[in-house]
Amino acid sequence: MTKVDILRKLGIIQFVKRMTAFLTCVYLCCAAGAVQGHDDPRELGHHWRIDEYRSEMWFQILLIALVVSLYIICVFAVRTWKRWIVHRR
Amino acid sequence: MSLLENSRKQVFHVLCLLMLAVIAGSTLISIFTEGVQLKIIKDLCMTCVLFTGAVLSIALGATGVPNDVENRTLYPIIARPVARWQYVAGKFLGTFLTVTLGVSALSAVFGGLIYHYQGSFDWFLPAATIFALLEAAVVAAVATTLSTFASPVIAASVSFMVYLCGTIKIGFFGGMLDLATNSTVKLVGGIVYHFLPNLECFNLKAALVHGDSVPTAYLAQVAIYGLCYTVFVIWLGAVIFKHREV
Repeated sequence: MTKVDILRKLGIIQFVKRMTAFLTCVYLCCAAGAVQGHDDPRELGHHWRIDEYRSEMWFQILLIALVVSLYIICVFAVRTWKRWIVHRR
Repeated sequence: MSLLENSRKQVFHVLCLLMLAVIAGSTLISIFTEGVQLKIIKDLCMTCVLFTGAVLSIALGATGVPNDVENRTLYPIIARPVARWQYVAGKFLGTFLTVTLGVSALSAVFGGLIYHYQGSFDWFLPAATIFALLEAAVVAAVATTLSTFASPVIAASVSFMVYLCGTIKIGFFGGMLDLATNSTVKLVGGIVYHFLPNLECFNLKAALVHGDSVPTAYLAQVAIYGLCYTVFVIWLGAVIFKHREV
């Protein structure tokens, strides 16, 4: 009886085979997870690939334009109103 | 005047020297990381440049106007035919130029390190530095505007909070807002969210470290956004300072 036969009889070869298969599966799953993670621009901090950043910037520029326009309209309205009151007196 | 005044401040010298030491030290740390030495140096140095720009902007911008009021150097300036908005814009430009001096010195050392390790100059570094300066301009504008009506401590604290929230705006703050269930929290949070500067978009560290290309259209949009936001905040500060009794 050779050494290999003894190991096979004890089931050690089967155990090592199963463990190797299991570890390979775990490794492949982890590697796939890491690859998926590295494909996500958010996780990588690649904000130039995310549309939300572009849209938020345009929205804020429009918001700034709106606030400035409102201020100019308000200042103009108040000045006109004051002039109208002085003219009435 | 503001540039000279700011460049004599202790915080400017201490922070610049500290960050230069960190940049020099990054070469020692990266020895232990075989294969990715240059990436570690780029990552650490760009973080230093961004952090220095923001902290200098807050420290110098938040103390500019209150110091002038306290030392009574504001009154002879106002007595001259200088408009209030010109004074606020001058204070902002002084702060920004001082920050530019510090950040340029750090970037020059950083560029030298890249040249030493890579054997060639990284042409994306000037672009990344310009966008770091744009971020500093936005933060300096916020700090200067807050300093027109608040004390230095409050102006610095609020500016730092704006900086922190701005750097995690879409990545973290936006996600938190989506999870909120209370309608009032959602409304107030939404208003704060849309008025906060989006400072994440000025951070091009990842592109510099991994050598990725960033679309020119995106860079142009970020530059326009940074300029618009800075001018708007400085205009707001000028309007507040115009109606303030000093």
